[in-house]
Amino acid sequence: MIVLGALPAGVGLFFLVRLLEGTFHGSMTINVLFEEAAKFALFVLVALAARAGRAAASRKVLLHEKVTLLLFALLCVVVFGITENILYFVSFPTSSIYKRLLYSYPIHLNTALLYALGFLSGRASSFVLYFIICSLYHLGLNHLSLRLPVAGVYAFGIANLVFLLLLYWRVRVKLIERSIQECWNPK
Amino acid sequence: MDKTDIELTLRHFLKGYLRTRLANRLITYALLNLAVYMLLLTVMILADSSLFVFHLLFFCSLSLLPLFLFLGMERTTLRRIVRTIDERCLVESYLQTSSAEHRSFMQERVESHLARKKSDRTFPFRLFTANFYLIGLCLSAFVFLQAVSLITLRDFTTPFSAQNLKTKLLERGALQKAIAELPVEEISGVDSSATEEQRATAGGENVEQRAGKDLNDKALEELLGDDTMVAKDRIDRLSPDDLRQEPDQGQKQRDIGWNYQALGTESDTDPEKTQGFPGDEGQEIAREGRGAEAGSSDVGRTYEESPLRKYAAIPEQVAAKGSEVLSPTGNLEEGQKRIFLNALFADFAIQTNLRISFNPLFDSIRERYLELLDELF
Repeated sequence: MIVLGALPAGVGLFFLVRLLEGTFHGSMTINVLFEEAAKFALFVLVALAARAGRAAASRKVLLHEKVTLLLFALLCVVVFGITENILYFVSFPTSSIYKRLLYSYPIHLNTALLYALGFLSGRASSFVLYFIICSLYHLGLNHLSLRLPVAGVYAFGIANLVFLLLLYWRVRVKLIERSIQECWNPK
Repeated sequence: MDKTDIELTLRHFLKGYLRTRLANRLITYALLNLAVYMLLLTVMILADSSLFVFHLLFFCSLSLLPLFLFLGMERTTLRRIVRTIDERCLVESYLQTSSAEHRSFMQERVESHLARKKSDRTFPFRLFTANFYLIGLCLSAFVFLQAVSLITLRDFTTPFSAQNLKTKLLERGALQKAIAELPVEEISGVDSSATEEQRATAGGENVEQRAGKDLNDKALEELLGDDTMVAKDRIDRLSPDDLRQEPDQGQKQRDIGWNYQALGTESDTDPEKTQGFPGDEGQEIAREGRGAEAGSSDVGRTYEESPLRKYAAIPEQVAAKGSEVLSPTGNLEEGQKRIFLNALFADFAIQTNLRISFNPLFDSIRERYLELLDELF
């Protein structure tokens, strides 16, 4: 159900970003900012939805409800990345497209997990901080990919995957902590 | 054990549980992609689909890693995990109550329970049931792929490379196309049989030799089929000329090469008869050089090249035709120039005349001998 909802949302988000990039014809920095701003906006909207749900239900939103909303945002970014991969593959149908699975695709996933950490922290300042970190991280790796040799890109790709697993683990541990807190303070 | 200790113990359980699940999910992801890869290869062999479609689908399949990480995340809460380790709902009751009095009452039991569970391996690593099914799926897909590859490409698909497979498929397609474009000639039965007859057989015979052989066989069968006495009469009627080699052939031999031999004989040193076959057949075989084809590679080569063989054949020829005169059979003018050959065969120019000439003395002795015999008997 979440996947079915995230599928059109992720594709729509991608084409929205492409529309903005095509309209402004900006540099790589501007394009990165557009992409990160779109993801940031998505997670902010999810956080606002959780807050709105709590207000509407006049009770504290349960953790699994929060996690469901978070999962939706994460899956939207996943669909965003897969759509970008497919369009790249259609434009450049070579086996080098698999490089994206190590490099560009994990960048989107890692930034999404960073926003997820901001979401779980529940503070607006954390969100802004993560937006800056994600923009710099994305921009830095994009510039690096233009300068690195192919072997270097693959090495960074492996580092990206390790970073992805570490971030994933961090998000899961955060969820455990929130879960324990919820248990210690039962409704 | 205070609240912090209990919290740390619960976190320890949760992390162990998550590690097991994460490892299983990564294994699921790897197995599923392996199965997808082999199924896509199978589809490529069967449907001859393009590499573009193959890579697109496999690329999408590989992109699904986050789904294996994120899906089900909302269900992994402490409550679910505690229930797996808390048989009597002791820990859950302890956590659920907001009363400090109740918690202090249950604390001792909860502490001992958690300490016991911590010493055990609460969440040992074991594969999900789904992963066992996926391993079975991978093995089935592998066997199916190899079977399809063996049937279609006549070879196993050992290198797991779509590019290699596509190259094989293209080669097979090109070969089939080339075979289909080959011109097919309509050959009538008579023509084909004539062509086959003109072709030399594996034994090295051509049509003329086979015809001659057939005639000889027919004559032999006829001879054997006749009455014994009739056959004997026919053999007796054969004149010496019938058994002799045709003189034209000997002349031809002398024209082609030169060597020394007894007149009217067929020696092994004859350059045209080097394979040991008598008569016309031997000459035909020698001309065509078919000895090697028939499996006797030395036949017709070693004998011809050895001068010692020629030399050794001379006494046999002299013994066989003792009354004949040994004379050169080659080109005499050319032979004159070869002094060493003249010197070699000089000893063999022996005049042997074994015929008894007319002598009146012998006649008178014979007549007297016959008279005495008549008187006695």
